[in-house]
Amino acid sequence: MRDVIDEWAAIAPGSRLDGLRGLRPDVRAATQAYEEAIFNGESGLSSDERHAVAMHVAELNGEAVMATHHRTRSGESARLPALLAHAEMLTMRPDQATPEAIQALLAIGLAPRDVVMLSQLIAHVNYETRLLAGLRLLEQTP
Amino acid sequence: MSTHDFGFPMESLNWKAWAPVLDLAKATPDEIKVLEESHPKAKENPYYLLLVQEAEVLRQRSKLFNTIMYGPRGASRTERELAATAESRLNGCPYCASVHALRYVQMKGDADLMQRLMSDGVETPMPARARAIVDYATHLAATPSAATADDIRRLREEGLEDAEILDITLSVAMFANANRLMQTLGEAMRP
Repeated sequence: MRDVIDEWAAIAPGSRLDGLRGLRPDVRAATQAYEEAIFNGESGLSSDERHAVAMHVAELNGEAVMATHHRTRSGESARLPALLAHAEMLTMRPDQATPEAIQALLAIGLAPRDVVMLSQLIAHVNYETRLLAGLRLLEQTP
Repeated sequence: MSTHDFGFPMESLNWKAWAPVLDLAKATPDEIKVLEESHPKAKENPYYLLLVQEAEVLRQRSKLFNTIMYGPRGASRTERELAATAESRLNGCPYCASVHALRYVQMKGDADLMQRLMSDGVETPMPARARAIVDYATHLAATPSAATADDIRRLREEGLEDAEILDITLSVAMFANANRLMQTLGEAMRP
């Protein structure tokens, strides 16, 4: 079973990287299932908002292909700037997180489970960008 | 209390959530099942009681975490823990760092090296193979483009097969995730 990482890293079936990833089929399955739970699940965060946040995190990590995937599925909302600012802090300066930042999200109408979804989404995209970068290095280093 | 005041003690810590957690008495059978699949002590841990409010997301995330860190692999559990701890130290997550530093030592990793990594930081001196793993882990952790072909060449020179380098990469990727959940949804506390 292939996952979104294979698609974004353009890993061809039968290639060396495909074989390497094939040694860890449970990672492929769980990565895809985690992706789908985040983007397809019911949530107080709209699908447009989730993809917009993912696009921003992909861009902050320099992942253009992944950013494009999310851009085509993203949309605006009044509270989106606050969600993007939170995503930027978690991605670039996670050690500067504060309880006030969580309170601010609750104050603009996120339920606790929406805060969990937002954090899982940001954390997941940060996982994916490291895996993509590592696979690319393995491919490109003779 | 900020991370800087807290330091990186090599002892078991507690964790306090910054958002309301699930009341276990009101958990659905599916939420209980997800908690049990996630961690042996998840039902007593506010971190999991917070995350289980998105039960299906936690279920899939726990499957991913548990296979990457604990599944049978090319890379040893010790070296997966070393990469995870170095990244957690770099990112400033005392809770994650303490859990995985202790696990590294339990797996017969070098206790002196780990104590220094916790107290002095990721630049503390270490043997070449550990150095190559920690350098790759911290470069990839900081921002993906900071890891380079030179990091991969050094890992290969130290005898790591590409399947092992993939396993180390997965550990680093998973902790880019784990650190961000742990250190931004709550904070470490001394017991």
